[in-house]
Amino acid sequence: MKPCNFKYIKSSSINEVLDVLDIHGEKAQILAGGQSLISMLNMRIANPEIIIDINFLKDVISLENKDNTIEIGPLFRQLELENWSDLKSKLPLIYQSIPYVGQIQHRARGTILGSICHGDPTSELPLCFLALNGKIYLKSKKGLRSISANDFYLGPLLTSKNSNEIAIKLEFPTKKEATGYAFNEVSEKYSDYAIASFAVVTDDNKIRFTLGGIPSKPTVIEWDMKNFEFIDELLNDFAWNLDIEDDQHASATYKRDLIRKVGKNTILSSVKNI
Amino acid sequence: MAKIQVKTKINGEETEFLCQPYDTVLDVLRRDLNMTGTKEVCSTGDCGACSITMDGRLVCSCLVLAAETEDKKIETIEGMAKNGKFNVLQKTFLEHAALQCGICTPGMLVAAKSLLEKNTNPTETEIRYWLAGNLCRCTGYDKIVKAVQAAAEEIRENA
Repeated sequence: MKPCNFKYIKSSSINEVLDVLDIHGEKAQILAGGQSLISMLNMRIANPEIIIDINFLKDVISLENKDNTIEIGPLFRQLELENWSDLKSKLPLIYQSIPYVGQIQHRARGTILGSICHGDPTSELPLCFLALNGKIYLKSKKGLRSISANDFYLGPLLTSKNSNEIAIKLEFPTKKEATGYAFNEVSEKYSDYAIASFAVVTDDNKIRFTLGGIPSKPTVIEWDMKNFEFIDELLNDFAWNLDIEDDQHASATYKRDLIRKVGKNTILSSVKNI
Repeated sequence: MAKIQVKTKINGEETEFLCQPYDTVLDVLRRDLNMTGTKEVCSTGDCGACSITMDGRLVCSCLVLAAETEDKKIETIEGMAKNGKFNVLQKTFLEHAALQCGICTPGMLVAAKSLLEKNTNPTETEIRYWLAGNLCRCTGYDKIVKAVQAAAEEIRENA
């Protein structure tokens, strides 16, 4: 199938994008990497009236290495992050997860911010964004606001970003002392949609456990490190508290089992990485 | 709706074309430029049959709008053989019978070429990791991996 017709606007500045978004709102869609968008256009799942191509923007940051954060701009590609020499030391969680993000072909084009704003519940980057509790900066004609990952995801492909806003920057906190990071994913074949994905950040005080693939949005739960010995029960309770249903890929029983077993293994790896 | 004029470089040649906003690079290559070597299979980026390189990076041409290629350098399967002579990968693919129906082959070759440009001594795991985005339903991949290894070896010997 081929996409429906739309108006293509190539913008050269953020202000130009904001003007178009202000007038057309939901009818307009921003195109950055397009690795989800164009596939959805091809399948006619998405039918925007206007596509705003931001690939030619000049006034955006790429990657900036600040004291305690890494700042990423809207056109920084996943492959560029994968090839970044400091990735392992600064963002160990992303380092572990990025080979699972699509295929080489998609990472070459797909952007970090694009994936995070698309908010696919089976995607790896939104999950890591939540696990690290990063921050995203959204700009509209009315001004700039920032929102933390904890408050960003509302549902499947649904985020707190309004239709008149563009994400212009993202902040990931860099690796902290005495903190362990681990990522794991189960899918039908390598790099396919995740049946379940896990990103865990552990320090001396708490376990921050995030789950993707199974719930309708990336989901986080925190446990006190004091309760570490009860981790099996905690994971079991967490699994039963989610509204899990059978689907064509896996039964609810199997999914709960993944949370208990693969979830636990991921927690153990994160503790080992401290 | 007005067509978009795009100026780009395809296989080293300055190319200008007119396209609709909704045309992908793949559409323009196959329909307007008569370069049918790049194959269309899934249109959703899962199969890799439409792999091309854009500014040296391997991408699925079904997931890039033609309008996005302004001022970019595109390389397709048509640019692989030089002066009527096969690229080493094309030769080893034939020698190892690494193709059967041939639909995935252009994508496989373009992807393998972009791997060997970065790494002339890839391990089997690295080859499989790199080609994970290219699906083949005939060969079972083994012969493809062997052909890429053989090509890598030949490139190293001639270096």
